[in-house]
Amino acid sequence: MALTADSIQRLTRAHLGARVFQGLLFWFALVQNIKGALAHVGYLNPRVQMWLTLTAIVAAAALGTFYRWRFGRVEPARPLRSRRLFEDFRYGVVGATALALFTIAIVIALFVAGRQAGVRPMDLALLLLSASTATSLATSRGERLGWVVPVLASAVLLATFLVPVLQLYRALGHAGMAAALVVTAVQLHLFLVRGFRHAHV
Amino acid sequence: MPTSKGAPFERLIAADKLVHEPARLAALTALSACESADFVFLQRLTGLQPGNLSQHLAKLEEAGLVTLTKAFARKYPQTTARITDRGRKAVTEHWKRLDALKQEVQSWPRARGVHLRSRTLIPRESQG
Repeated sequence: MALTADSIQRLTRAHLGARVFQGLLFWFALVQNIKGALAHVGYLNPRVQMWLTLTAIVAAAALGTFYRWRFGRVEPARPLRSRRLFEDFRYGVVGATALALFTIAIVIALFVAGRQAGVRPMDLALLLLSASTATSLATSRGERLGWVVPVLASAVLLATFLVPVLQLYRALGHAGMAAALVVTAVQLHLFLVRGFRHAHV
Repeated sequence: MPTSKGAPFERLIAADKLVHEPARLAALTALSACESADFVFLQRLTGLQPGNLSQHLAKLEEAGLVTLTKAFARKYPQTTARITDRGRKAVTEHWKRLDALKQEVQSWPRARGVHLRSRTLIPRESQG
């Protein structure tokens, strides 16, 4: 890899993006999809659930520590000065109100869409969370078509929610989403490892 | 500062040495894409030894291109670097200048009546 402004900035942004799979949100989405797949094939029991949750917590903590030790720590760029000024003065009121309204709108939309389609709102929320997490990981590498795999996995899972004939294959949908999460995380990790190896000046 | 009228290589030689040095350029470029980065990240990025990187960062700090914050996390020293507005402007302009030079050099053979054949520069007049 040639040492260019673009390659160094991409590597820095990928490092920032990798914080997603060091966090509990990624592991929560992954565990929920694995649990969904296991529940539909009849292998889910309290002991498996406990081990999955414990593994996710330990893996998140271990990865976070490993990354900080191996690749250091980077803080994401703050908004532009004008936006920062806006946040400084009005964030307390405008920002919090906007966030609350957005959350309420999303929850209402999930309940309405879920009721109309005959799907649990929690399943739709989990689908959104998983898709956005995988897309975030894929786009962190700077790949223009990085969103394709997460969107395909989401479409397959959504189809198993909505189409009655495909509901039998919901386990496959959850497994596909879990695979998409793992694949995008591994791709990002490999991108970082190769990037750091070749970036040396 | 280089003028835009000089020959490309002269302009390259006249480039800002403080920013043009590869390790410092890599560190400044990485810092321009984030809010701050710690010493370990810059070390992994540049592949330099700690003492060497420390000297480069000290030079950048002395020139006002970065600010360094030294603290202790538990018992371990932790150095964090942050680019200043001046540093951001300097690195952006430097990359723009390098890109302009690169484009100018790429358009050379045709402009000078010379074209590449078998990796050798052959003037058009001598091809008869």
